[in-house]
Amino acid sequence: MTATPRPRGPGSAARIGILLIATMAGGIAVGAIYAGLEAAGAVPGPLVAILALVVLFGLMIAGTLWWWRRADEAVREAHKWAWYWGGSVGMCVGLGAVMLANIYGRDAPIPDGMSMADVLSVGAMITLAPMLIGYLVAWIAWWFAMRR
Amino acid sequence: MENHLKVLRAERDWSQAELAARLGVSRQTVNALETGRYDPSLPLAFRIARVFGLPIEAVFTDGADASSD
Repeated sequence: MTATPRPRGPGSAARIGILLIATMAGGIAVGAIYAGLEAAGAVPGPLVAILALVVLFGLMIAGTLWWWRRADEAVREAHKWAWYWGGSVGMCVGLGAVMLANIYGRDAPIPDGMSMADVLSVGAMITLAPMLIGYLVAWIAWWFAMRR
Repeated sequence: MENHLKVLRAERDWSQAELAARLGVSRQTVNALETGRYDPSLPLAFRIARVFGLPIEAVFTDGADASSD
């Protein structure tokens, strides 16, 4: 019998843990740096912020690629299924929220204490959140369906 | 598609985790395969057959073939 392949490096759960911890550490570091700059009155301009975001998200995508290349086919299938079904259903919910906002919220005032940027950010999150929630629910449903 | 993974694994007294390690997949994947709810790709199916030292048709059977027997 030929030699059987062995998993490379840490196990699947350990890899997800490493990715989560690295992402959290990155987020904490960015928050700390921004807070420090804000306290010193030296908040960077948009160009520096964009460059920082490109670097950060680039690192995040690189980390995800590292994890994806080591994920087995069922793990990948669960994510692809969750992305398609959970993400699509979530997108419908988000689009529905945008359409309702357009129909019924045209004359709504900007809430006190909020800027237009705040309102836009909240709106963007309202369209993103259902997709993320749908993804998570579909991912759990896929693995649940694979059990006896 | 049906498979005899659970029986073959039990015959060798392997745990799901041990089989997963031999195949280079997660234990959850082995569980999904054993329930028959997840059909592996051809490369993984051949790897499974190799791990058990059996021809692929001894591990996996087409549901249609089984019903016509």
